[in-house]
Amino acid sequence: MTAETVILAGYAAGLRFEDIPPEVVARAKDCIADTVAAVVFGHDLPWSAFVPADQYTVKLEGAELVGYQSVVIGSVRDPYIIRQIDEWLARLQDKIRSRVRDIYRDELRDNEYVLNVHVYGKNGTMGALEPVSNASPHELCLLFEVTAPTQEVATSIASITRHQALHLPIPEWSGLITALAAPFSPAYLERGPVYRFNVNHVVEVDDPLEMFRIEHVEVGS
Amino acid sequence: MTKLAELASLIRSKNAGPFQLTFDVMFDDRERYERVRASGRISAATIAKAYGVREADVMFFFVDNALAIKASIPRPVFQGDLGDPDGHGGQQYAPLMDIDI
Repeated sequence: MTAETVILAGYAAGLRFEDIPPEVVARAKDCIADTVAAVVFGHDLPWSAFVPADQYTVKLEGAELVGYQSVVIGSVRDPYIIRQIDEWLARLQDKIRSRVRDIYRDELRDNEYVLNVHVYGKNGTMGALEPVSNASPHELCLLFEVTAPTQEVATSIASITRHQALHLPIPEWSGLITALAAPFSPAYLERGPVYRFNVNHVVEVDDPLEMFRIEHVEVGS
Repeated sequence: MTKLAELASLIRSKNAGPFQLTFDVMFDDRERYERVRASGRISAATIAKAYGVREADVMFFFVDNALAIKASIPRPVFQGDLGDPDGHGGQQYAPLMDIDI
């Protein structure tokens, strides 16, 4: 087995049932029940066949805590801003990052938090996959998504985001503008901890049971 | 010219695991399915172009006995990762609707 496989197998083997969050256990039960149901229903259909693999494998999947999230929802109706939204958002990112540096200095480096913006009305649904590049919407919804090491920091950056977005100027207007329509006050919503997939692995085991500890307990008399 | 959406009974997208996005184009009758298949207008290259991914990354199948076309591409953002706009991957099929057959 390769080094990564040994590490992952060690993690899986050392994991105690009590350490698994109840939601994960409930979801695992659902998945197993679903698989069994599909097998029972489909096993004798004409196009079904059991095809044993040459190598016995165990699938490992896992997730990790990324951080804590706060989001701000706002919208823009000014056509001057809408027509330069990408450039406006790039300037906004710079402003926010510079403000965060001023406040946190060495306590929070640039790469320790993530600020994503979903632009609904432009590519909010498809993001990088959106093929339409010449849409001309009359309004845009902006969803700012801040992920940071603690909820407190995420919310603080979300507040900075709201404040900077609210008044970020454009050349067409002179004086203070209010660029963002916010439906809520306070403008941020706390989303709590967020997770992401970090393990997708297949272990080729010598023995199907080698990764699993089995304890026999005698009950009754 | 007819749009793919007018010929198909269902065009849909969904996650195939957290790292892949899969598309199904399904038909109610063989005639329409064969017409689309014979047109040559839908292929791995079409999918690559519609989504701006490399053709080598597209898995593409005609499934004759199911009257269906299936294609899969890598997700640009893994399911649920920061910035993922569509956790179920369910609204990613729209660019396929307008393919001219």
